[in-house]
Amino acid sequence: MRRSTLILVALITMTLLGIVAARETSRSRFIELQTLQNKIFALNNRWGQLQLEQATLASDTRVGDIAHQQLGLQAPRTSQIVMVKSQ
Amino acid sequence: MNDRRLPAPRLSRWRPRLLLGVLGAGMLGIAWQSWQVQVGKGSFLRNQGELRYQRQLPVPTPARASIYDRYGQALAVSVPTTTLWVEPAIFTKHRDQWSRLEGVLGMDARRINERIAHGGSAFAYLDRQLDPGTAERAMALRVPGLHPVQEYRRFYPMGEVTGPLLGFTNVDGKGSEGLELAYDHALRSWAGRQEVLRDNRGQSLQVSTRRPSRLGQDLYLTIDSRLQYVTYRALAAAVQGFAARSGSAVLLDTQTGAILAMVSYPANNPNDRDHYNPGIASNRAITHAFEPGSVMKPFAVAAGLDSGHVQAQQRFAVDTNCFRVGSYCIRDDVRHGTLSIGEILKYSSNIGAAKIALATPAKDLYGLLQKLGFGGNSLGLPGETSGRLPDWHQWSPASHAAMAYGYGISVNTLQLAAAYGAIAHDGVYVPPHLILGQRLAGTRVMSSATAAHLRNWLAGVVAPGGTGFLAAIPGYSVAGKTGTAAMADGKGGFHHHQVNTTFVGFAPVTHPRYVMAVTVRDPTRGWRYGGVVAAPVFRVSMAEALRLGQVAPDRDLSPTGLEKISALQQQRWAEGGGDAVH
Repeated sequence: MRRSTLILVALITMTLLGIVAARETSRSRFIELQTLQNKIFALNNRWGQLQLEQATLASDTRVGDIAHQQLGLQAPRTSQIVMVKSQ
Repeated sequence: MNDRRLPAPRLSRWRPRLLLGVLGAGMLGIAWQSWQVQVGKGSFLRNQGELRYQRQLPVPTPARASIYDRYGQALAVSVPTTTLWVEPAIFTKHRDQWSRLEGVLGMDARRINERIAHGGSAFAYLDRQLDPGTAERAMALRVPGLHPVQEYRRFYPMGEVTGPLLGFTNVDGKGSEGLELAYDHALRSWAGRQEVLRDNRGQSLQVSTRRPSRLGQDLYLTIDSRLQYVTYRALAAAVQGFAARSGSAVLLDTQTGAILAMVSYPANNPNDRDHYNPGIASNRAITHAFEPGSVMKPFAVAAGLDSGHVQAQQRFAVDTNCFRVGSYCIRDDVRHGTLSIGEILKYSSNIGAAKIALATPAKDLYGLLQKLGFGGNSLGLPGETSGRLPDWHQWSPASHAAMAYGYGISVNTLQLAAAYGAIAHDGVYVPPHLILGQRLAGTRVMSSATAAHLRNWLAGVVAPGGTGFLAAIPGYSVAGKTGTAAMADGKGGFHHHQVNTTFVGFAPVTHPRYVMAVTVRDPTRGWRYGGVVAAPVFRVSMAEALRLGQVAPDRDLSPTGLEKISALQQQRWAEGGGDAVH
């Protein structure tokens, strides 16, 4: 066989192996992508839950009610306010 | 060397032919089979293959986008919930397992039967929007025919405080009212779809075609949730305290037109769908138009001054019980002699305001009111009213005069706040906006000198002896105007015992930062005046806005001239910003 034919056969074989490898890589990458997408989805949901929890715990209504009812706090009357001038 | 050659074996002639025949037949067979597989049964086999390995998979639906206030505080958030559905044909065959399910879901067999009866033969909702933990416990019972599906539930952490403004979504996550409806398209997320090739372990290998899921866009409002809360409580206290029918209030940034608070009371709690009352769902600050009364007087003055037909130093004789215009008799609550423009505003003289308006061409007064946004302009929210500003060509002398003290025109609370914003902002009207970053350019609607005069005169209204004294905030200069208007009865007349009380004002007068309008509809207890009912709502909310906005006090805490005010006013003054009960 001529030398050029051998080189051609080798190149074709390498290309074929390359295709198989690329396909395998793309599949495993895709599986990874899907896993990460599911993770994003779950984290987004968790983020929503935490935002809700934070907003509920820190809501002015709740803080106000605790201040009035449990701690007995009141807004000061005019005579109780002392204005301090900055230097 | 031995060159003797072996004699060539004698092959029978049929053997190669047989071999060629067998090979040829084999190849023909393969070719035929290939033809069959590729072409003959091609489509059938491809379908079968796809059935085994290709899957149409819905990409999980992302949550509906959130709504935040200007500081990123969540006002509406969707969180995942699980809905349980059943295949009635299978589920009803396992009634013996229902008792365990009843314990987890807290519903009895009768209720379960009802739910199944509501559905079809293949599908029925058992329980919607459960928290994921409960759903997981129910699914762990492995009752045949019971399936979970993920859904979202919308929560509004501020409840009724933002209820009428935000609106709500229905059980399917679609906007039904308020901002949720107006911005439904932007907020909604859509499920995507992908076609994937799967391996024998069920793992996806490759996406064939795909429609990506669409993530809704988060909405950032100009609202400051703290001011929204304070304003809501103050308004609720006024509506309850004066046994009024309803109320609304709007707080704006004078420089940018940003809506910092927009409240309506009474309101639904959007988290509680079971007790939803459609009668109180609307955002009255924009959906309720009313005749505003005396709060319109400053605009008659502005039109008079800018048109050159009225001078700032001019005085008007109001010493009469009845100033007749056409067949109408215009009256003042208290009879005065001759008043300056400042005094006309301070004592809220209808006769004085009517005289100013009649001295001003109708076209000029109409032009100013139109430029101030009355009868037009909107935020684009559902149910919003633009009010009514009749064309000046249709004005009779009586309706021309009435325009000065706020009759024959209808407005909403937001329009009033924005119009006073022009006085506060040196004569430049900035249209209000609710979405952060969507600021609109301002337009000059009155001269800077006129705006300065008005600020000065309106400060007199809130000074001791003025009708708006209860709006005064210790430590700050405040300007504003009270309004008390008989409510129209819808038949061309008025309910003489039903009034709309209003206060519109801004602070500090020297460099106005905030402008606020308060309307309380039909108070039935105590002194039913704008200066008594609505002004305290302004005082409480504005005091908090100034404090949170870190605006330095520009006045002493103890006012001069306290002897000029009533005992009630002195008591209210002593209360200061006060606590708004809710």
